[in-house]
Amino acid sequence: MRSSILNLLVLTSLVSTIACGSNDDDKSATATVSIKNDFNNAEMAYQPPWTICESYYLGQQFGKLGLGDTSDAKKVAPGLDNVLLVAAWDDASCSPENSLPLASKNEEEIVSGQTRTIALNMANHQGPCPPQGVAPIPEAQYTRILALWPSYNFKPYAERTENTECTGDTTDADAGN
Amino acid sequence: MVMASPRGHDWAVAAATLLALTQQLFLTRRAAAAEETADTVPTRTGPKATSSVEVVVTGARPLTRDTTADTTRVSGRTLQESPRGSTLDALSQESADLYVSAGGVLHGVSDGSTGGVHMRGLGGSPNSQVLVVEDGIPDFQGIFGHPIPDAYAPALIDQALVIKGGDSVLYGTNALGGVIALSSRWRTSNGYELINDVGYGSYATLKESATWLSHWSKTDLSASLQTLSSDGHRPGAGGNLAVGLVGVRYHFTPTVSLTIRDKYTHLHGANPGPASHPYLDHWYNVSRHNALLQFAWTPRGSRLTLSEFANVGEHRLYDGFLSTDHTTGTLLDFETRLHESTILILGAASNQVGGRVEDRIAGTETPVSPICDVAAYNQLTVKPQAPLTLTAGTRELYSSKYGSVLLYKAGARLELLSGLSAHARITRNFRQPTLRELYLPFPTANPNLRPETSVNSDAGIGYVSKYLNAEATVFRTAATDLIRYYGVWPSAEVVNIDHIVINGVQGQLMLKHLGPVTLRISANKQDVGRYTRQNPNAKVNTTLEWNQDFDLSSLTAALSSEWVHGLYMADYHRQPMDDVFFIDATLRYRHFIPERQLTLEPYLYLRNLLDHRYAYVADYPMPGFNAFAGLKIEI
Repeated sequence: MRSSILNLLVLTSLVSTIACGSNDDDKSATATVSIKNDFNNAEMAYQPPWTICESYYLGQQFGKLGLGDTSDAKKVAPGLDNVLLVAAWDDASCSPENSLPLASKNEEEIVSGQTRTIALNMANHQGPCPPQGVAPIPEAQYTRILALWPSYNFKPYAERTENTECTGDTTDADAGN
Repeated sequence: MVMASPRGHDWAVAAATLLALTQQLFLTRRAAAAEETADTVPTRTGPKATSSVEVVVTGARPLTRDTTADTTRVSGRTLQESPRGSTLDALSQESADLYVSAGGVLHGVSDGSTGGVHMRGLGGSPNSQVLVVEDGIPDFQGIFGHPIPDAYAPALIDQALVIKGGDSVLYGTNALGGVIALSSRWRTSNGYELINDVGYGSYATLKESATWLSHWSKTDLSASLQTLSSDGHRPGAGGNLAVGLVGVRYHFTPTVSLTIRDKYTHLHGANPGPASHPYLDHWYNVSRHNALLQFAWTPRGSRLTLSEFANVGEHRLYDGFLSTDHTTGTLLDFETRLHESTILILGAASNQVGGRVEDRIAGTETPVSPICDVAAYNQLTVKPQAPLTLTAGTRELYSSKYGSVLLYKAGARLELLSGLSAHARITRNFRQPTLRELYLPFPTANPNLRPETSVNSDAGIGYVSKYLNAEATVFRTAATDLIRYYGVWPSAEVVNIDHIVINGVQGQLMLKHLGPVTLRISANKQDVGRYTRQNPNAKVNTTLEWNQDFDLSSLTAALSSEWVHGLYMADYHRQPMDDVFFIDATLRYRHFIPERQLTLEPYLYLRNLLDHRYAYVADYPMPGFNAFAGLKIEI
């Protein structure tokens, strides 16, 4: 009887060790992110001259980024989201008439403790103008951009191709968004 | 899932059976020793022993060298007679916590390939977190770190052991989430066996397997050649496979032997592409050798083996990719019984992976540095009290790239009552980065990556009786420093990041010896967290088998099914897929002709009986209803 109890204690202690492992889903965890304007990446076949006027990812604004610039690193809650942008075509002053709502093509992921720079470039963006080799931006992301930066007065999603930058004189914008 | 609707009489039988089981469990304390031999591989000429129910729920009777591990053993015959397309698929049918993404006729390699393996939440597609071991030797491609799923021809497999939760102490790198250990078949009594199995089926699929096993005096010989050709179930999905294996074992004395074995695999096929955007010319061509030289000395109560192995291959792809790779090593393993209740394993291992990669079209070569490691390991198994077994082990590994890594494990097993047992185990495993992850820009590389590690634990209870085998295990997989790709070319990155915990429960139930009927159910439910890509939440495999023995023949009919739930093509529960479900039927007649010592065995597979539309990989539909018929002859 005594040995049976001893045996059970041994097994129980091992099971307890197994069961008492902590769960890793630390709700207070953070990650560190920077955003890079990589539209001038020379490895791509085409370099659209987008200046990033506004940028947003997982609750943080990363601000304006010229071609090749990288933002300051900011703490965010780990998660998964598209990077939301307002970008101006060949216009470092970010005039609203040259600007469009863009988003990263990928849902970008960052996990607890990670430090990451997310690059926005020809391969990793989507936009509202008629397709020229760039994926169309989904309505949900487009609408979020309108809510984040209403001062640009972008058209509603149903009229997204009628934004000035899409329909205006700067027709070469179509090639890049 | 296939369940017969019982009539009133059947309910009475079932109730009586249940009562008998209850009595056996609580009132009697008879040992289930008879069961120790119930699951052994039947002799080839014994038609009365031809039930293919040779899957063992090992919660109560493990066969691994670590008796505290949660394992499932599957006999080679079960694999050979499975209607599933490959050995890994057939194993997945017998153990629900092993998920294998099935393909059509071939799994293939590179883009569009299937055969990805996940066990208890770890794995991959291609898989480098679940290790395949052949005759004690780790088997993975030198550059990409994964096994070749099509390379495991079942003809010469004696048995397979699925070790859940991994065991890097005994097996080293890549045993992060689990181990699939395969052992080759040898004839042990004087004489020979010649087995030929030829079949033809849908999509012009032709399969031929010829196997020779002999044992004369001091020499054993095993040889097998399996070929397969098929047009595939859709354009571009066809291909050819040839697996040849030759092994010679010479016994210098009854306790000293030398084994030489080589397995050659040639695989030619193509990625058919997504059904919505099919490819026509994405071909691949793979040639590999797995060579083994093994010296064994087995004095009374001990076993010493010294193994030299080399796994060498060449992979060519349609896009100009050409790689030659190798995994080579030495393994010294000594097992001895120190005392009636104490078994000690000591071992040393060295391993090297390397290769070269070039672009045949551009004429460029990507430099790759080999990785070498040496390791010493030990395992001590003690039975301090008759019903209790304790196991502990460590492995100290020194890598040329990562320095030293300490791995460990500890487990306990307790025989509570006759046939009833409990087990628990914790083990720390690791996986070294692959050369691809370190050096090759597909789409990016990082030479500063560190190994992944996991601490896996489980606890379970099992019961074995004449009519019932049952097992339930809860498990926890905790992995750190996972190697993950982020972003897309040209700004992609691959880094060590993150810590994940996967909790789950797995169970198996076998009802047997209920007249001619046997039922096996294996189920797994797990929470894989955010890494949901090809890592399903739930899986259930069911096999209902009817076997009738006659004087010199036997007839077996079986229905087997797989249901996979919670399957996604991306992490974070994105790109959900429909559940996988299909039913396969098998009909097999075995007739022994004593005057000729010949066994004839015609068989028929009816796959995806309900012609259900399903896929493991999005836009890569699996075959609809298809049939395959063959004839196996054993001399």
